[in-house]
Amino acid sequence: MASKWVPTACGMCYVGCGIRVLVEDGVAVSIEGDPNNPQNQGVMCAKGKAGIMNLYNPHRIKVPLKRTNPKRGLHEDPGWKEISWDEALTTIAAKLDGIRDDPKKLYVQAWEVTGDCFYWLLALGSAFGTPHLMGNASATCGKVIHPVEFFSGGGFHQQPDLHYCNYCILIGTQFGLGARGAFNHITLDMAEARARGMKVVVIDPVGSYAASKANEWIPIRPGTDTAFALSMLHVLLNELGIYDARFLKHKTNAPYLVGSNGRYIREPGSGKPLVFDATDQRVKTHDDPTASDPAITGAGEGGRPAFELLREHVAKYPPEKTEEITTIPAATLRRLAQEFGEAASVGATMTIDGVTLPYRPACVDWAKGPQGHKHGFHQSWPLKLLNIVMGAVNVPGGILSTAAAGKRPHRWWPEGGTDGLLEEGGHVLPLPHPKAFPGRTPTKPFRMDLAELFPLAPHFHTLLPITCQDRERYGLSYGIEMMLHAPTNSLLGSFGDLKMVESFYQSIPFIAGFAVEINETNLFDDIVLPFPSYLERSDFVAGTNLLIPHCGKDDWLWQIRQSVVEPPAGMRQPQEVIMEIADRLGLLGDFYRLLNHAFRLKEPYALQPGQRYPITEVIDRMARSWFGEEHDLGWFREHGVIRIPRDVEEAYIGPFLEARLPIYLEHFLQRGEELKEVISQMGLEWDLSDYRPLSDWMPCPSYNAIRNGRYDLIAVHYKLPYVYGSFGNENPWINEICERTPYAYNVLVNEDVAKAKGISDGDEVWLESPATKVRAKAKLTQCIHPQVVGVAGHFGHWSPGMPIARGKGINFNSLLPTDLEHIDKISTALDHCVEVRLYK
Amino acid sequence: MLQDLATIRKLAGKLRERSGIPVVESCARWCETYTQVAQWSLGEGERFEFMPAQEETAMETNKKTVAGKNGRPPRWGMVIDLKRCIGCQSCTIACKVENGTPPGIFWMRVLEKEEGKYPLARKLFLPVRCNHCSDPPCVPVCPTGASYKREKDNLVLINQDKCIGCRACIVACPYQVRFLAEDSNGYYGEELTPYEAKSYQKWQPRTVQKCTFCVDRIDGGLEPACVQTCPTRALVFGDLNDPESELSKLVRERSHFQPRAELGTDPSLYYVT
Repeated sequence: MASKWVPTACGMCYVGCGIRVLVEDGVAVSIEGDPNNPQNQGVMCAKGKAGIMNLYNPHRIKVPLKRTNPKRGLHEDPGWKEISWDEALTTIAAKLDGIRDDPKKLYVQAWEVTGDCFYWLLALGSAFGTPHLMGNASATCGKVIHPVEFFSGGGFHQQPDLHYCNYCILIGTQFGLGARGAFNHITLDMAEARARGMKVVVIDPVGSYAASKANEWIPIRPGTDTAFALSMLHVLLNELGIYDARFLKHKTNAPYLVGSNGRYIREPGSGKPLVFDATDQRVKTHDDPTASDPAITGAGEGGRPAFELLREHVAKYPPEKTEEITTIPAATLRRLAQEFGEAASVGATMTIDGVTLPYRPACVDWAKGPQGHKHGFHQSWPLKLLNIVMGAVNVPGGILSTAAAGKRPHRWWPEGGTDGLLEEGGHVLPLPHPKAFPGRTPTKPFRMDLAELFPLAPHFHTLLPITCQDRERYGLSYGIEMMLHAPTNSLLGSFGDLKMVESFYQSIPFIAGFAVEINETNLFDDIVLPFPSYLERSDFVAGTNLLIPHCGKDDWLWQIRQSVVEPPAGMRQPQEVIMEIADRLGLLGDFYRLLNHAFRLKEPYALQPGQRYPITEVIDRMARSWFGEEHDLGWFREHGVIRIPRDVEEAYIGPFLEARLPIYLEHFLQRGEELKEVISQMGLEWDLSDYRPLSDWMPCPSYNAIRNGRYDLIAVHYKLPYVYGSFGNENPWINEICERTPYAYNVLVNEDVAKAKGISDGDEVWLESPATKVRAKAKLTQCIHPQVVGVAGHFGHWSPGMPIARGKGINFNSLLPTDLEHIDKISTALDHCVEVRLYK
Repeated sequence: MLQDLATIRKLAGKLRERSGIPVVESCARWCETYTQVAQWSLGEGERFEFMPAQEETAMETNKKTVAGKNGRPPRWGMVIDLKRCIGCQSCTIACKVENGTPPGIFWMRVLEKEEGKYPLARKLFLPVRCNHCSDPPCVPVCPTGASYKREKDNLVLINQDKCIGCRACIVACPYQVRFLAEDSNGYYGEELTPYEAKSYQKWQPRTVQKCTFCVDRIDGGLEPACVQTCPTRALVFGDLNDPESELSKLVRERSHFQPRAELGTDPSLYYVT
């Protein structure tokens, strides 16, 4: 019996842990975490361990298919017919050729970040010339966290520094306990941090995994995080007077003088914002090296420091006032603020590897919950401000920005720019998101996703189902005529109301996409291309450790993915398929130019126009280019991962960052005014009140709806550690776990509330939102806010291609009304708290 | 003392009412009732009963293991840290992939239950599996000698060639961790996947199967698969006869209980709380 352990990268979610697969006689029989991989350190989650059952799923697609039923709909049988690769690619290339006169008619739905396919599909779309490149997962995915991190952290996402934090507040996230990037690493770190006594406070409508392990669970009414954060700021800044004045003066725009019009007072001529130097008792430019004590209180030159405006602003939110909004008792909030403020240890330092750093062992972390909201930006931003005013950003114990800076294998570093503020985030690949600060100048849109009307947002795809129904209204004289997509299930996962997505997909004359199994998105395809299992793939980028790795001083890493078993006969590597499409269109040169740029490939490693490569050769070139000749594909095949040590500067960039962070968003005023002008020229009436420099609490539609009476509950989504993402939905082992717990496929409702409605545990109920009405099974629980219905996971499949997942659980996104009233005008996030009725 | 849910809820309510006690502390104190949890349940028809070990019993057991160091063979055991366990089910799946157990059979699983009343409510997680008892009730009831205790290290194992599937041991086991597969069907029916075709060779249908502490791995010097994968390192495996082993230290230093210690089975498994 031939038996060997093969190192590769997991692909059961976007994280990409290091694994070793035991292969006997060509059959994968076991998977273990790679103990040498610094990301997961040998451990694995349930879904990753279950990957073999995905590999051997007999319902996988192994040959190209075309539809024979011209009618497309959520429940239409496509009438699949097997076709050859040549027919499939000829058809796709011909369709692409047909829209070359106006390449923006192509929409590329590229999200699938377990491997290279994502970057290659985006490069194909860019080489073709379309701006319609969708590179994010859900209608909340990164909408606020990315811009916030770009201009107030430098990296891509955020993580509490579990190595040193002593007081960690998790808001609408189950960081390290049920979800998030670098899951296995942070889960172990979280267990260690809790064991050494770090306090965890979970503020969440649902008392799920994180709440269950927290020192304290504080239920909050959905959509009211802003009110909570502003009250916390008020207690800290105005009642307790706890803040890091030194940090605020020298590392933020807190001392920038703001005039009565809300704009900075600028030096005539240079246009630089001014500060008042308390030492010399006169105004100076913000970058004047002689300004030794920029005042953050008082006044000067007709303006007041931004910090004073912030303090005054948050005073409008005493805990007694927000208690009614959030349902968090004022006394509880005051205690939390005090505990948080004291734990932050303002002024303390610690020494790591001989370098003395500020030590702020307290932080607030947030993710999907707050940002998936009608006012998502302002729901989340004041939560980040809690860390900023404590100086707890990118220092030991505080909040850390992921992958913000690095020196190996090449250097990337965030930089300051406009007005001395952090402007450029760091990226290991030179592929930045749309600029978050100072944003872009809004113009009349030509993009179908209206990107031009969201000058501060990172993503835009949530607009597509809305605009495609009403193109003339936005002055768009064309339509999306073709979609290419990755093998993910965006229909269920990336939007809201399914009728809207159905109608969007129906409006696209030709759709081709990859499939592992026929999911609901594939039901709309004209051509389906088979996509290999992650255990059959080869990738240079094998997960998201390039953007959301674990933070802190633990080693960083690069790993590749190699195929551990032979793919089924006829299966092709997706990169080679994409390369062939580019070649058939005569775009190979442009396509390679983009890949060479994105992967920093220079001679002699750069891909050469006119040549096609096996993917293994491309990976070999990339590996040698990045890590030296000795670290070629052969080396990675043997070792799996290269460990990359991080020094103190890379781990804790705060003190080394030559840029200030904002506490006052002056540019929001400018962008808001510009946008107002464009909107009014277009004859639209948009509420642009979110374009304000200081956050206010603004009620969302669901908050008002339950006050008006027709609806009495708010549905929210939460995550299960064994269903993170949805790649395990068709996995029979994961399904079995979901079936054996009442918390996965059922909807959670507060026991007392349910009983008052005559609903018993396990009852079949109707869950009705303004968008749809679905049948669900009720799980009565004490672990949920009385005004909330909790929906877990990403279920509710009906595709015949997913017989295991079919008919189980419900799809949360389908409950969400999808219109401009439910879109955050700053971030494009779709509101994920939705008013519902629950009845038998 | 055994306490029921109502008592625990009353206690939680009392703590909440007491003025001056921060909720954090109140929750912590509430968690102390953890070991007094009377019933754990998962799904319909499945019920588990646990009682806390008497403090004296635990100490005595501990002493015994210390004494056992002199000339005694290893006694493989496990400590499950309930503070660390987050209910992620990684161990459940690790067991599946390692042992190729068929649909509906879980040698290792994590039960969850709720305790408390809103807002002082939370879920509790309890990984359960064969406890490899020192005095296992399942062994003497076996009519063929298929169930046996491996003298060299205290593992409770089954010789499936000898097992006639009479189920006496399933009835005798107070922990409900012995199983019998009626057939060899896999997760996709009669036709096994290439993986199942290999892994199903590790057990036989119509005979009894259960957790072996991954005996093949142990014999090869490896930890059981569930221990190897646990993302919070909540599972600790080792020799209970070695006072210097990590798990002996955990049992010594932390409050703990053995599942239904009052039955006198002397499980080789400790929950630390």
